Amino acid sequence: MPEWNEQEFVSRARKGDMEACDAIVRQYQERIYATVYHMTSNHEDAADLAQETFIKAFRKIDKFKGDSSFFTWLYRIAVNNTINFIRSKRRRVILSINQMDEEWDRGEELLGLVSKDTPRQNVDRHELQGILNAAMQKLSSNHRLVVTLHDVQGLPHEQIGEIMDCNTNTVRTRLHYARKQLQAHLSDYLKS
Amino acid sequence: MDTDPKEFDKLQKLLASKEKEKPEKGFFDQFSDQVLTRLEEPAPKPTLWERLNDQVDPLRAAATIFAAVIGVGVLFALGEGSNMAETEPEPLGQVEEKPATDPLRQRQNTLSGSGLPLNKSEATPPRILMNPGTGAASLPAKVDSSFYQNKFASNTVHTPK
Repeated sequence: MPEWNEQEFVSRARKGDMEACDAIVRQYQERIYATVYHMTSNHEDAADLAQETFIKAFRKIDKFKGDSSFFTWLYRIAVNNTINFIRSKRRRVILSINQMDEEWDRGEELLGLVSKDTPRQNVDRHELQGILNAAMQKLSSNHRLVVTLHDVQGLPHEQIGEIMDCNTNTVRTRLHYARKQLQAHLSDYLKS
Repeated sequence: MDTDPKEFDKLQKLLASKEKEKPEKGFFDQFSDQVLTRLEEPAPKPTLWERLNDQVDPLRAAATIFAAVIGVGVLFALGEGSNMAETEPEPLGQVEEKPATDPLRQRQNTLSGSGLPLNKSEATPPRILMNPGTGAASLPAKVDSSFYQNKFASNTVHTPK
């Protein structure tokens, strides 16, 4: 695989170079998929929306002015596409949660975070994932997005502001309220 | 709601653990091929809304609509103002006389049938309105001169004879 150079690959993709398009997809696919997946909590929807994101980006690549990084621009497409999808979706949210990475063997540590006074004592790792994802789905799409980008994916406030087209203070405020709501939804499981 | 730092810490760890939720193995190996295959398919015809969205800057569109609304409002207000000016009630006696419909009596600038000149631009109200009391006959008052004699000294009531 050739060495990664965003500008060069974007320039080639503009000219219709499929090899460059392939390189761009491989470079960002996991992060774009993860963002959409954490927003929808559904693997099938996430896979479809992530593919749509890249297709839209390549079809509109002439509109990329270079004001931000290509990755931020791509993220913006993914986020807008996903928010539109969530808003247009009338049916009930169906969770289709991925398994935890097998190499990450810290399931016990994760369960250790759960209070001993939980409604059900024997909550397992998969169940805990389901509870967390269901709580995420109760947040508004903007709150869910900010939690996904910051607390799950670890992006800085400034970049989240660029992606969401708002200032850093708005990002912080949304993050604060989103966390408060999540704490309220999960209070039974998080008690000290 | 008070934020318990321990609860907050647990929540952050739980959220961070979500990063480990991964799709089945091999999913990303095929992902790029699927994207490129879909990319080669003809693009679906964009809807009117999508075309508008692509070609029209929403800020400019909003500004144009706002300006148009203001413009229409100003035109409407001007129209209303001129209507009011046209229908303003004229002072009494200045109402424009309608021309006679009888062709035999239609003589330009003359009162129909009388031959008197009619100057519409210098129409004046009837004299009775300009000087109230004009035309009423003035009669000499009959006054008894004894009535005006100094009678303030007594309290007796005098009546004219």
